[in-house]
Amino acid sequence: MANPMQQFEVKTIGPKIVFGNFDVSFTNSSLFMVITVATISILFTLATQKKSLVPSRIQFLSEMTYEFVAKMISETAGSKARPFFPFVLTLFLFILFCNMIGMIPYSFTVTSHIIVTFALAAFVFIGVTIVGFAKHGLGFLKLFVPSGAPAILLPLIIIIEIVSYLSRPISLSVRLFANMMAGHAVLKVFGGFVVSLGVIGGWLPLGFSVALTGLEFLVAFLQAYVFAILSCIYLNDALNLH
Amino acid sequence: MFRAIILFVGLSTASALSAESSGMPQLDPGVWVPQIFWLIITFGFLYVVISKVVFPRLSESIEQRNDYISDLLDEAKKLSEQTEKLNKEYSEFIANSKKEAQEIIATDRKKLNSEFNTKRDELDTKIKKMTDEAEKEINNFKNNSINQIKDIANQVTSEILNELSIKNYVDEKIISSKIDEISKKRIGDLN
Repeated sequence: MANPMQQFEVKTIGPKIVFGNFDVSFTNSSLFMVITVATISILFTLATQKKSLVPSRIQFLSEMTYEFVAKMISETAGSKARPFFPFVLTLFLFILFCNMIGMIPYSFTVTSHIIVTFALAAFVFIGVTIVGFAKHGLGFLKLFVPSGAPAILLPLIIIIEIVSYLSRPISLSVRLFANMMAGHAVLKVFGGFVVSLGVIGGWLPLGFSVALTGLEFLVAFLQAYVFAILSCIYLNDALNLH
Repeated sequence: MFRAIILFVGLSTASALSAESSGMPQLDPGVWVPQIFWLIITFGFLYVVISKVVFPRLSESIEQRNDYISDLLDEAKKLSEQTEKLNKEYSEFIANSKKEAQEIIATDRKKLNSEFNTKRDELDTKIKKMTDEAEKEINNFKNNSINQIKDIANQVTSEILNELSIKNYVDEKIISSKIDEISKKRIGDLN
């Protein structure tokens, strides 16, 4: 039976590119990042080309996405987060399309690699922290001191708050990575069962495969949404404290 | 929780099924740098495309549509206000016309009433005059006829007395006074 983890292997495509001391060769992961970005760029550029008053289906789809993300931001972070709209939209679309393109058989799921999700989460984390300090200066540290807490418990609470703040990028990245990897691994395992159990016994795992595929599409959307909305919530903390 | 169980099951099956399992390829640091490198390039490119092309276009088209809709709504509101104004004017006009019509009817009725009253009074006086005249005539006639009847009665009596040749034995004055008495009594009965 095929190794269910094999699908996550990163293989170099083409020549080995070395940049300074680092190997930055083009890989299958890079290929799917490029495919994802190209798909989004082409789709949304074409969709928004006409700007007709009564939108076509594809234009309506793009506007629906826009309004979905706009609502998400305004509900979690308020109007002050408006300048960060393009970034959140990019983040949401990138993760959503990586997840969805990963659902195509024999493709590669970019977001099933912890390093990718961690890089995204770390970027959000560092960005949010910078925004917080730029906006409130040292007052941003008040984020770690909840108002109304008893003075005796304050040191403990501050430590807990700092730990929970620092663990944000980890939970954010592991949530997405683990969901994507687990889902794909399980699909692969059930697919393997279908083959190994054959015509007689393979029907049950096949049914599971079908059901899990549906579930995976839901998860692909949901995780992109969760990643984006959590980024908005962190942004809200930085913009408005709490 | 469910996801965690799936993850655990998936991972344990994966390691159990593959003897030569090298674990998770994700944890090989050798693949980290190229992925981060290409992630920065592709994500950066996507950010530029979205923030410079897609975002302005989308916000413009949505704003345009919202403007258009709010323009239409404004116009609709204006028109409805106008309609309301016209409606008010119309009902005012109707009310005024009704009032005017009622006034006209009232004055006309008054005029007609007074005209009718004067005509009736005129007729009444005329009729009264005529009745008075007629009554007078009847009275005259009555009186005349009584006197005539008295004369005739006197004449007839005297003639009868003559015929009976007892004229000299009867006082004519008594007879005429008797006739007067009787005729008065009859006239009183008549009246």
